[in-house]
Amino acid sequence: MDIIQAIVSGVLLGGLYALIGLGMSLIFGIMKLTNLAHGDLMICGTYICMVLAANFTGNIFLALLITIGVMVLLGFIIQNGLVNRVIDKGSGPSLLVTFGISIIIQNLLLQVFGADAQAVPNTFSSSNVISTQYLTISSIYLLNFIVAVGVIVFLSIIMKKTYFGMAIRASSDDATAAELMGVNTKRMYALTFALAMATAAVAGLLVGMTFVFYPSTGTNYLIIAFGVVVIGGLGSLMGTLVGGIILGLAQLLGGYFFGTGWQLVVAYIVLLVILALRPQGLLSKAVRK
Amino acid sequence: MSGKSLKRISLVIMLIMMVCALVFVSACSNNGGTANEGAAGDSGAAADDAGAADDTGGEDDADAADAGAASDGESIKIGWVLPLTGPVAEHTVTIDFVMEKALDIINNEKGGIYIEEYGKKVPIEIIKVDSESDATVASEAAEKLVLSNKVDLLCSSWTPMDTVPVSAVAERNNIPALMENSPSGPWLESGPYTWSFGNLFEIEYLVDDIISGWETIETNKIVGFVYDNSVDGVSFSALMQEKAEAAGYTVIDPGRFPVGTNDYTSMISEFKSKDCDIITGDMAAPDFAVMWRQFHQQGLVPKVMSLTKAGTMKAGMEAVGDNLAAGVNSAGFYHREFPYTNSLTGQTSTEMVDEWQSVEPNGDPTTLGYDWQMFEVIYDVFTRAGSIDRETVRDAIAATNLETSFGTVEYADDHVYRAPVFLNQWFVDDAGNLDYTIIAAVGYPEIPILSPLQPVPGSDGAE
Repeated sequence: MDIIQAIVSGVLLGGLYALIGLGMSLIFGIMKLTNLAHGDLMICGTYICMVLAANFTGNIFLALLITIGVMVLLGFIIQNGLVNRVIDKGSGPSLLVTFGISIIIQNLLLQVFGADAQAVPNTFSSSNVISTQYLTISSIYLLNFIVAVGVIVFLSIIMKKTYFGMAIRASSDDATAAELMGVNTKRMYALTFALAMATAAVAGLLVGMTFVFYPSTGTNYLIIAFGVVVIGGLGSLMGTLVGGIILGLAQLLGGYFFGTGWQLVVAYIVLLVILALRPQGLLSKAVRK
Repeated sequence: MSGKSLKRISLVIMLIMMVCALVFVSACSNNGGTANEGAAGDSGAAADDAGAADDTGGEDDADAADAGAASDGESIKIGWVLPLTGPVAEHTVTIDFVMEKALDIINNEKGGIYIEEYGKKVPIEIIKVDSESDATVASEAAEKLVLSNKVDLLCSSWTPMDTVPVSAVAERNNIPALMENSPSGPWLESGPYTWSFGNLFEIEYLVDDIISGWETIETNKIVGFVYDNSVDGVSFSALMQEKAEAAGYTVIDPGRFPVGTNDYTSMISEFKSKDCDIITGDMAAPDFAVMWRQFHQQGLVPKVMSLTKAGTMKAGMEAVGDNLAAGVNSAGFYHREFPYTNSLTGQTSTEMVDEWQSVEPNGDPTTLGYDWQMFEVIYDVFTRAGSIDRETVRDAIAATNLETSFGTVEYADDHVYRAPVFLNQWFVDDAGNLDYTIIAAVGYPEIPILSPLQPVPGSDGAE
């Protein structure tokens, strides 16, 4: 019976992983930019949300809305003010810019909040939806999964149906042609980064509610985001969901069969196997240029 | 996109992931608060980290403490490397408070210490440097203190990650050194020492404390292990297994797990199926917070939860949330009911804790004894030495026999003073705050036992 517990927890955990990787996938898919600061920006959102909820709003959902606003603005500024200036010069300089942002954020958080581990207090993280002798489903894992699916579906609709989404996809497919058609590609890039930060704010809050966090945790989640993006396929939204679930399942089943010490190893072995067999990821269409 | 560029992208991704993994591993060893000497100068990622942090000004922050910074350069210079930031920074919570007060007493009230070379009383000057909880930074900082600042004594606090590299620098440069607040085992493994002395705790006493605590509660004597793969985790689990089995306990060990693990489902299933009444382990406080919440969610509430690293400081226990940490027991180092008297201020333990908590309401007194004792020993050593001659100072440290706020300091042949350590247990006080009591203190008969071990609230054994 324990294996059912492992599978259920793995799938639900995968939802959270998918949400963590979503912003990374957006940025990677559309700008071909590896955002090394993704984990740190997400944790930055977690801190903002925690401070707002504890000191000002008292309501976690209101705090989340404000955080999304702040993160969208931050994302727009980072892309417009920093990354857009170097993005034409190849992938190297913009990669370094994001690495720099990552170091700055980690140290800023350390200065402001100190090194202590924090958690966002909430009622979900210590309660269960289902609680039997054989199977328990924790409220927070379920919430993570539902929110992740919701955000991914919502984002897919935006990308498919709106002008904004079409312009973003056009900028990604062929920047020159899109510009000829009157699309301001750099502006689209900035909006993409902003959109990715909105998803990071949601992911950040859920991470803060589910686990504990401290200024250097961002790196752990960057690796998870990489795994999700690589398994699912660069830039594929549904792919991130599949990637997250595969990573979560591999981790929990690895733990089930080989012990907790092996769960991350198994997850990354699965990742490497998929990378070897299908380097473009499971759901990516591998567009030819 | 052609197949070729696709391959290149995947190559780049793999490269980046490898770099990340390196950074992650080095970050993990930081989190655990356990790096042995090997970590002092190995992985490129760790070195990068240190370099990057340098640029943000971490290391150059070396600032002389205000009280008694002599302008004419005539002073006893002490270089102190300690983790003011980084994953183990919570352990330096009381140092600034103690340092300011101790220096005020030594430099102003007592007018300094008579030093032969200067022919008069000179103040103590402390040069405090942040190690950022990183062994490489600690080593570089200590080297700089010796070569540029020409310090007369090196000090270092908390975790082998700081004390081991700083002692290594002291040994290389023939500088007397005093270490505090760290387990003695990993420090001694990097010895033997000629110039370094340590006010350290003995993990074996703590393991004895834990097992003596278990004896007072009715359990099925089945113990589940949750030791992570840090240096401490690996060595402590071997010691605990040996002692627990000798005492008649059955050990269920699912194996070492990596620092930073975020899902413990498979472990929980195993402990539930084997019906473990007792869980014990060594892990970083943030990992424990995640694990303990998942234990509760998946319906595993053991009668006893004993730790050795997490569970020491209040901040880490508060991070678990909802006062779920009540009932957990772990290593304790200081308590207001200690029977000792401060040799500098004449205060009792209760007065010391009250004074600290009047500055920092509800502040954690765990490190108060260690920090005060350092200044008591420093004052005593230089007063007896009357000199800053390195060998004289070293011999004065070796000959120390001083009653301090943290027991009678005397260094054994291996240069260690085994400072008090006891088994604490967390509970929620009347005001709703977490606090700890004293459960067992094997090896320190003078420490009062305040309460027997209580079953974890919500477990079968609790009322």
